[in-house]
Amino acid sequence: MNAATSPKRSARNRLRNTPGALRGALVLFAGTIIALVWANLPGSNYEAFWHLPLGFEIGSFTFDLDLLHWVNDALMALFFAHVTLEVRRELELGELRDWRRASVPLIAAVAGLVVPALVYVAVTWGSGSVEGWGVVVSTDTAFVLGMLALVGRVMPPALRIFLVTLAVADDVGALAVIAFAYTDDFTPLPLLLAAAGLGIIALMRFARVWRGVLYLLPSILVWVGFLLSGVHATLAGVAIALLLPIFATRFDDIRRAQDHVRAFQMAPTARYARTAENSLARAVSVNERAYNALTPYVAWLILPVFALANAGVRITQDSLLDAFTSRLTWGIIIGLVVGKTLSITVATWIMTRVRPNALSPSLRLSQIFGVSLLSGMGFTISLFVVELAFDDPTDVSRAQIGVIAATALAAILGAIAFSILSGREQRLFPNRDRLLRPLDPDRDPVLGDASAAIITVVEYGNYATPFSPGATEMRQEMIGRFGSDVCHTFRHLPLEEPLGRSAALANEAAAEQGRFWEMRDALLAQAPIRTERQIQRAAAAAGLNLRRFEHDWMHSIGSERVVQDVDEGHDMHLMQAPAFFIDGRRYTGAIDPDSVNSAVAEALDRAHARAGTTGMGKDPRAMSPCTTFRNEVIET
Amino acid sequence: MSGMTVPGPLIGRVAVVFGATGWIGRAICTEFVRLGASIVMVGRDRERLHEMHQQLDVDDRIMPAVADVTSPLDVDDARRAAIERFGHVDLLVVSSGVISGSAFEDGVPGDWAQMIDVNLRGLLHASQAFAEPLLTAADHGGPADMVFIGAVSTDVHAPRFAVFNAVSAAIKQLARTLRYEYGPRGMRVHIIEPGFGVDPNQVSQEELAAPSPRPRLRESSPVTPQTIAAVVALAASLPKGANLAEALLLPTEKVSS
Repeated sequence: MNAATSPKRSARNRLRNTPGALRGALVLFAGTIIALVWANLPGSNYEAFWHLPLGFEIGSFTFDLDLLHWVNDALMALFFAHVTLEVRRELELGELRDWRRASVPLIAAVAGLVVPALVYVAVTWGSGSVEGWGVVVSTDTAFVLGMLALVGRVMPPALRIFLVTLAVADDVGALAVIAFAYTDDFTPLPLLLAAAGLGIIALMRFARVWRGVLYLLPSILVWVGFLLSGVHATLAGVAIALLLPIFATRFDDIRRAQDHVRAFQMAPTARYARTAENSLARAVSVNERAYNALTPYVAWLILPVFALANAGVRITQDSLLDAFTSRLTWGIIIGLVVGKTLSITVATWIMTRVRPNALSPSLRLSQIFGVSLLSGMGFTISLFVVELAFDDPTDVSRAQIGVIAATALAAILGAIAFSILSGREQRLFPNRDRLLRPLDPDRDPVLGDASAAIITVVEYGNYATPFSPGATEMRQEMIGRFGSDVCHTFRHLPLEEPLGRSAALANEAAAEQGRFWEMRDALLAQAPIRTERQIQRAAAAAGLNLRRFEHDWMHSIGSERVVQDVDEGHDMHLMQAPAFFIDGRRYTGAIDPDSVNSAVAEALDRAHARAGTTGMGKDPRAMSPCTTFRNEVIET
Repeated sequence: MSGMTVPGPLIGRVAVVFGATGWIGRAICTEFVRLGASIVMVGRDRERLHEMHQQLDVDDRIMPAVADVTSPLDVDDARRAAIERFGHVDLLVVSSGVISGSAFEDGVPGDWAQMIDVNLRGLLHASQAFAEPLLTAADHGGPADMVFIGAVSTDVHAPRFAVFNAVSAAIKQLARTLRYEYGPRGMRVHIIEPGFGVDPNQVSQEELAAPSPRPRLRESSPVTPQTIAAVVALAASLPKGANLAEALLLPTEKVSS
């Protein structure tokens, strides 16, 4: 009914809703192309530019690095810190909390280090270029994550986490290889400095220092220590990020922050502003604050500059011809593309045979295969090792071409694999973008007036995941902002957390006493639910008859709705809680009150427009009650 | 503890006493133990419960349970613990309560809220949580008693205690209604109303639950906690067909409030 306006709007929306990682990937690839063009322009100053020294001098002390090293050792330390922060968070609170699960990408990473090196050695055996085995051990984290964001958009989030973990572990291994096999000027003494810095960070963490800035000083110490030792300084980023404090946001902290903000509202003085700021910061762990602070810089500055500085390899027709007849080049290509793919896929396959639950249930081996294809993108560290391993300019050129060819090939093969997988994914889960069961007031507890509301918001969530304390506020804001235009329901999506299902049943047991929403708020106040006691406390706080509650809960009175929700959640391929359906369509943006509510506002505008074009009167409320929503065509 | 070997009328009974460490509750616990009952002493103060436990000196029939009567979860935990320890409960006494008074226009709303919370809401929690075990006991053919300790002032309209009296009247009304609801199902609901012969106008604020500092006036009253406990014990030990439903306990010489 709005065919004329929809393509334009959806194109604009698509751009706006593009995940940050994807936009970052596009910028990264743009940087790569520019670098390649720049380096191959006649009379190019590419090399000379990146070797300009930059530093400072204090009295007799001078410190300088050339631009390339500033990028690769300093900026990239921030990048590695950024990805490691994410891995660390997943290890502590997320997907990889279970060691069995975390061990799969780690072991796959080890296999992905060793096997390609062996493949390379086998191919080049006896050719005198065997010492270049270090070229094929590493995956380029930045490129591979960007590529996955580009080609693996419909893949479950767990796949990205698998890849991040794999890539970070792989980088640590590769950088260690560089340090011990290719660094001539390795001096262990400055590592003591780094160790001291790490020790200070550990102490600060133990003392519960929460001000992020204070961690900066020892961090610089760690970085300098790594740099002076000759070990690749990006390892400093990994080590620091692993140590930074991480914890789930606690409801008490949020409430304290709220109190302080309220105090500031009443008396907007500098002192209250400061306490409010502090308590707000304190509620979120240093890990997450650092991650968020780094994110825009990583995507928009660090990665494109990194690509610009590293991707500019000089390629001529002659060097190409020479390279593709040399065993060295083919050793690298086969090592990276075949070696990486085989080793990671096979290692993961063996792990899943040995331990049936080792892989997240949302992942399939075919997806791991796709990721392992992508991980043949060696690039930066590979190019870096090329410089260290070979002296002869011909060998260097052959190796560089090998790395670029392997990277391009891996990217292309990975893209093909993922386009096939994505098609399958969409065939398997055709309903992933739309709500299977419309909001039904006879079945769903509804906030708002279902017969008067113009659009519906359906939330699938659970009480056992750590990131849900804001849900109550989000809902209140929604109600405050849209009033009777929007009606809201909550459905259950207990994922793998042990008590998720139990809490969902408790919520339904409370509904038996007419206190579904009160119980929901009480459960959220206790979230994340880790013990049955928290559920009992919530039941008391929700004002339930505890005896009846206990009985209904134990006898799974509400299991029918929970089971239905879970089944439909599975059919819609919901892998993450909370998941929102706004006006029947899956919402994919950020989960915070502002983003969700502005999406609701947009959906409301669309609904108004829809009502306007159908010409059924001025008041849209009269014609589009959300209970009849199921009859409407949903555009996908 | 002289009567310990004498078989008492409450042998085999399991009593739960809310407000066990209070002025009246303490006497009721002592009396119950003396008459052979097993008791669960429920109070907020762990130390005082412990101290009482040691004084009563019969380990196998006493279980202290720390619970705040205003918390439904605490009360429910106490129920669970009592059933787990003794298998059943057939006697509930709610003697927890606070009292504060002043001229109505000077009254502190927070004090009112506290009285409503402890005296009324707490009693509702306790009686609801234990209604089921008591009914089960009645179903098994044994006696089942729910005893509320009320206040005589509901009838006397003691000035300066308007809110306390209103709350006490609610409790009395609850007892009367529950009697109709539960009587046919074999459970006796009693309300025992002691009057101390104290001029309430001289008592500005006192806590029934607190042992000290206790108003001397009430302490010197001939209506002692022991006499109240004796009435409670009597109510619980009558043959189960007869219900000592409401009892007014007053000083002989000074019958006004």
